[in-house]
Amino acid sequence: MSKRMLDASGLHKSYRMGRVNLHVLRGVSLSVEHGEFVAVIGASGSGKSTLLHILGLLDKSDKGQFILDGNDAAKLSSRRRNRIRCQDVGFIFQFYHLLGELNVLENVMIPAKVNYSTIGWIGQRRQAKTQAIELLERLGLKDRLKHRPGELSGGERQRVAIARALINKPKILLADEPTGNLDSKTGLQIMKLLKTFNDAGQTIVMVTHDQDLAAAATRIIHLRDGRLK
Amino acid sequence: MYKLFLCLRYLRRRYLALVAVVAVALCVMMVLIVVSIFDGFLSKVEYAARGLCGDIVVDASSISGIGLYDEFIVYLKDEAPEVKAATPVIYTYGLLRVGHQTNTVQICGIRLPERLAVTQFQRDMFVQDGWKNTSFDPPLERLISRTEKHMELIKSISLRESSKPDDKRDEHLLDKLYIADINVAGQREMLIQVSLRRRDIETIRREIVAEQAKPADRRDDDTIRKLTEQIEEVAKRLDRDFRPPEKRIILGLGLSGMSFRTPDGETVRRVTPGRRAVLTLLPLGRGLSITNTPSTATFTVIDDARTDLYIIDSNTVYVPFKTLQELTEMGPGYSADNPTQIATPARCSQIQIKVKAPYASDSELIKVRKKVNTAIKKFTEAHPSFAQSFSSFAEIIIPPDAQTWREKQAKYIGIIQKQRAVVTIMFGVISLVSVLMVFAIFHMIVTQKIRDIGVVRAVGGSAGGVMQIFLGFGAATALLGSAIGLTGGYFFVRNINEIEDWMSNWFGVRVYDREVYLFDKIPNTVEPMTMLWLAVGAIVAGLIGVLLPAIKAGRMQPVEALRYE
Repeated sequence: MSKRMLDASGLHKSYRMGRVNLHVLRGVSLSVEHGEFVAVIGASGSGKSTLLHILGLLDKSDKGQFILDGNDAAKLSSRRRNRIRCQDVGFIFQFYHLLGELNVLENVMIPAKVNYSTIGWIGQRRQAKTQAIELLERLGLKDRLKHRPGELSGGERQRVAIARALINKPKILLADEPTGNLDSKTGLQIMKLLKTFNDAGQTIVMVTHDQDLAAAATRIIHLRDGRLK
Repeated sequence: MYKLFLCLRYLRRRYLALVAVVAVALCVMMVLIVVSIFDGFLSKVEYAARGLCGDIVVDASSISGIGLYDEFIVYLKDEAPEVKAATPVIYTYGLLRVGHQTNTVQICGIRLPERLAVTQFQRDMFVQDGWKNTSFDPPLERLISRTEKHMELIKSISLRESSKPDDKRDEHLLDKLYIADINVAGQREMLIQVSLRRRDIETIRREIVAEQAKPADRRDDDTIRKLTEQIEEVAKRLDRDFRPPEKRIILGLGLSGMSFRTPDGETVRRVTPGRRAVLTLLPLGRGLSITNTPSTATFTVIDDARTDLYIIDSNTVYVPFKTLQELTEMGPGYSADNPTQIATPARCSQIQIKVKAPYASDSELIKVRKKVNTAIKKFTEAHPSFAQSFSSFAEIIIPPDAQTWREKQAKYIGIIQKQRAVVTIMFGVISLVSVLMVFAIFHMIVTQKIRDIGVVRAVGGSAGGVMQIFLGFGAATALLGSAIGLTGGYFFVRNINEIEDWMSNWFGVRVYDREVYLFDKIPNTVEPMTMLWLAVGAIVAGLIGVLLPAIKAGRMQPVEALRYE
């Protein structure tokens, strides 16, 4: 536990949108310790999601160094990046991004399926299923196992997304505006859940534009014009 | 694991993919039906072509024919142990008159039952199909019973047709059936008369024997003389009405005016055994000359034969080998100085050879054919009269040539093979539509599933894994489509005649007119290898169709996919 969960320094990222070059991150440096709950606050377009994608190895920075749990992101092969994303990182998205063809239980089990080969899955299937059901029970979705995402409320969908993010027991949970698409009451419930998991030792980095929600975090960082303030 | 799971789940839940499944299924079904029917026709024609002339055919190099054929057959069996049996055949052309109907015909002189060991001549004979001792002299009782059975068939068709409502009844068919019935009844009557006369002869013969058995003092020689004259008189009439075995003829079933086929595919004969037939031909055995005068001989129809090759059945008649040899003057030529000394041997036009079963494959047959040609050369060197021509270039001896049945019948088989290739290519090209359909549908599916691709990448799925999901999805679509298409195509082909009947009854139009086509039924066999190749082809086509969309999905950056609106 002595190592930091993540350590980013001088991250730059720019995008090309048509003829315009958008410099989204301008030298972001950030460290997160194991067990921390960090909220990154910023206005829309401030680069919060881009930062989160880089931290979750979904994207690469143009410049700067990023170390995730001792792994230098720049030196990781794409195979290793996929592996780390599967085993060590859990994503929660604003729009849930559940797979419409699968039911609740199947959605939650998808990362576990990605984690194992076909033969490995045969040995792990029962355990993964039990784990997914337990997780869904904890999130109050015991009666929704066979429901498809279209049959759930927004809060329920986000809870399914949280279960999916947690199924492989990731070292870090990355939440991108997890309550952005929910009413305030449901949003608070989701935040309570995240806090509960953090209390149990789960490292969380959440990006949001809502100051009130960010208050649940142990540390708040402001991102403005691509720089941390 | 997730790849298989997701591609199967997409297959179950993405109803758009069902359109691709249907497209693949229809294309597979269409190609299977076309290929199977053509394969069926082809194998029927091949079977018929092989059955017609045996495995290897030795053709004379001139119209003078092949001499010393029996000696050559004995020699050939020693030289090529692969040869199981061989028989000489004479071919010539002439005119056949039956009643008022005259046909130009190919006359085939054959040795029965020797020919049966070489070809499948017995198959589909009217009287002697399944009869062990096929000959030009089948039992009279069998001729009568087969004729009577045919009369029953005519009656049952007439009854069926006349019981139809007025608007559906085919009056023309009823007229034809009526005439056929009168003809066949007349021929049956003639056969019965022959049977009675034979019985008369037998009775008189017994009376003669009884008279001869009496003591000399009580024997009436005058009675014996009278009875003997009576037998001769009856026998003469019998020979005139029902020719002896050497003057019997077997007709090709497709000869014009001899029979017709009903819309339901039943063959109705107008000419049955017992009918008189007159053959006129030019004896070409001594070469073509203006001094040739036509030979005419009267025959009794004893049977009819069907090879399933229309071009053969519509113009071929079969007579005893020896009879045709005499009529064509292909018999032995005697020395002018010594009429008992044979100057030129009797000849045939062709020798048909059957090989033993292990050598019947195409590749083995070519080897045997080479051996036969070597034997021909050797035999010709030892016996020039084997290949000697009576033309003005008689000194030039060109040995006969051996061909395998496939080489010999290439013109019949080739036509269907070409048609099959053209139609298969045509339908194959049409099937490219299914590739385009799969491409278009999967392009749409990938576009709809961009978010899912982002999620799968976010939870650790690789670019290759995402590509495999869609490739698997495409392969599963093609597999399902081909399974449905093959099943549908199989049952369609197997029941094609029933479907055609049903369509005919329902819409009143016959797609496959059994009165016109060579075979009375549409071939309904499906080759397992054809099904296998089609399944493989469909899966490859499906994979080609899905390849570009799958590559597009695999190359998609996870962040772009998650941001996709």
